[in-house]
Amino acid sequence: MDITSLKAWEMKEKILNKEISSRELLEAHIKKIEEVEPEINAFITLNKEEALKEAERIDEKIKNNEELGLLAGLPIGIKDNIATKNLRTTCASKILENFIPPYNATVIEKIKANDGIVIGKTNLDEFAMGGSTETSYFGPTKNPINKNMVPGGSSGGSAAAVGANEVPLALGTDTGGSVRQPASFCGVVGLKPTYGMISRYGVIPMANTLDQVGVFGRDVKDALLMLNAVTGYDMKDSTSSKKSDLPISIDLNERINYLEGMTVAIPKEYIELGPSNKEVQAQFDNALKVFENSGAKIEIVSLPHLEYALETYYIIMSCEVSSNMSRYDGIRFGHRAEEYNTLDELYKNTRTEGFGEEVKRRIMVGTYALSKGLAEESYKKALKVRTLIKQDFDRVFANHDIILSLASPILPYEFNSVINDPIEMYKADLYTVPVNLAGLCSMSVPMGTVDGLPVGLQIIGDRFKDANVIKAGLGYERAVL
Amino acid sequence: MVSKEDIMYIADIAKLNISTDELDSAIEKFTQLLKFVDKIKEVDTENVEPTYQVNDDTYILKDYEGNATLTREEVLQNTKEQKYGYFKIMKVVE
Repeated sequence: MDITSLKAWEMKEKILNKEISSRELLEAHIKKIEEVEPEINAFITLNKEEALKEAERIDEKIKNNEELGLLAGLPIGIKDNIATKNLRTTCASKILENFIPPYNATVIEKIKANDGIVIGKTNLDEFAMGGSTETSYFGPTKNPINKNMVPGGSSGGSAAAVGANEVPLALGTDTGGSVRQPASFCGVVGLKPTYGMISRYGVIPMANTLDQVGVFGRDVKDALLMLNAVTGYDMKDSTSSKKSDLPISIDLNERINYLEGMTVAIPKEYIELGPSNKEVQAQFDNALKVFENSGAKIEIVSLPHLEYALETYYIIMSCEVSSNMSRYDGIRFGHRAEEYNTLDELYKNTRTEGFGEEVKRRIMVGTYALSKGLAEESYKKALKVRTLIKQDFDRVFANHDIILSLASPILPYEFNSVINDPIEMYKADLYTVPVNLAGLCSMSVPMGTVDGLPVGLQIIGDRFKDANVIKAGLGYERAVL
Repeated sequence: MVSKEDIMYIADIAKLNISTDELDSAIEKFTQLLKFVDKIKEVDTENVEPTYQVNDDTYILKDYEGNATLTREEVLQNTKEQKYGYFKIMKVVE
């Protein structure tokens, strides 16, 4: 048996039963990484030596019968926009090619405190700006299901690493779908919890009011395990919420039917939009039948402002990006141009050389949207429309436990293809970005394949009702397996 | 209508150099933004408050307390040039 193909919770049981040591588990994963990585390219930097030391420390604890943390010696992949002390953190950008953070993000401290092992840093679209992991300075990641296809993005490295059995669990970040869409593309579970559930301290920001750390696992139980290890209020992040302090406690008794009596909303706007691929739609219809047959109550609802979600997202995201990216000045950290005669040239040459095309485009657009004369009708107006979008969801969640939709209306595509087709990309984002605008929680769960490529079911829940999303995911998984 | 001068001005305040062949793509992106701005103009937002922040229990000021902070060496470890324990930059005042 290949131990790396087990679920994280199964690996954890084997460690706790002393069937395998943390070191053996880690070595099996390192071997797998060495085998597949030349082709998949899910990692930017590996942390083998430190990881082996950590595994030995955990095995020592086991030997001494000390209690283990939630992650009990499991190897974990970390998206490379999350700061890891003394371990290079690049954001897949030339500008941070050699950046060594002097501190850990709070999520990394939590993983360590829970006896998880950081095995390496995973690939992403540069600064998490993209949906295919093709804009990485370190080259694209390939989809383990079909290596001619993109893994999705921006957390494509994390999703592919879990899919290719390089790690059982991984962290990503989700600003407009960057955890859920790659999870859908790679056939794994990806969960973006409610905004404020996980500390963003040390998570290199793209758009602060939309960014949230998310988790990847092979099933919903894995995602729950990873989530509970990293949530919680953090004084170092003023946007983290005290409501995140309680662990999500769900009775995992096999006989429970979580879907019985669950109230499920289907937005009519998504029905009208529909995926252009009818087989993708058929997968979604089948999933709905599973919910119905298990006793869930399904109702059609309306989110009238959904039609403005993309424009609103695009404006707010670009504005926040342009502001965030101003920290890359070539002075304190990161790349610095060789040639300059004035301070202004130092800034400009550094930033022009250090950032890729997509990052520069978004900085420019955001700077323009915030410029004098335009800020009121762009940024300020978008913030107001955001309120209306949020209220649409609030109305639905007053009477429903969850909303169901596709995680992505399109299948994984070939490299250099859809990136040039803005309309398809635009439509695809419409399924994921409204969740970030309203700060909701949402998960993508595999629901079968079309032409051998995975399709994800998106389960959306109200703010701080992450337990509803997880129960729905567990219930669905149990009903189809 | 977005002009080349607009683009050059924005690139200047965003501290980016822009080459002549990037100008057209920038004009295209800016024009798209203006279309987006036009689209959301349709929405009646009279008496609607902006959402700066989705949660209501956050952004709460905390009492000052002394926390562990980075050492000078840690702060400076990623810079290209330092002097006397400070970041070194070019002279900006005459």
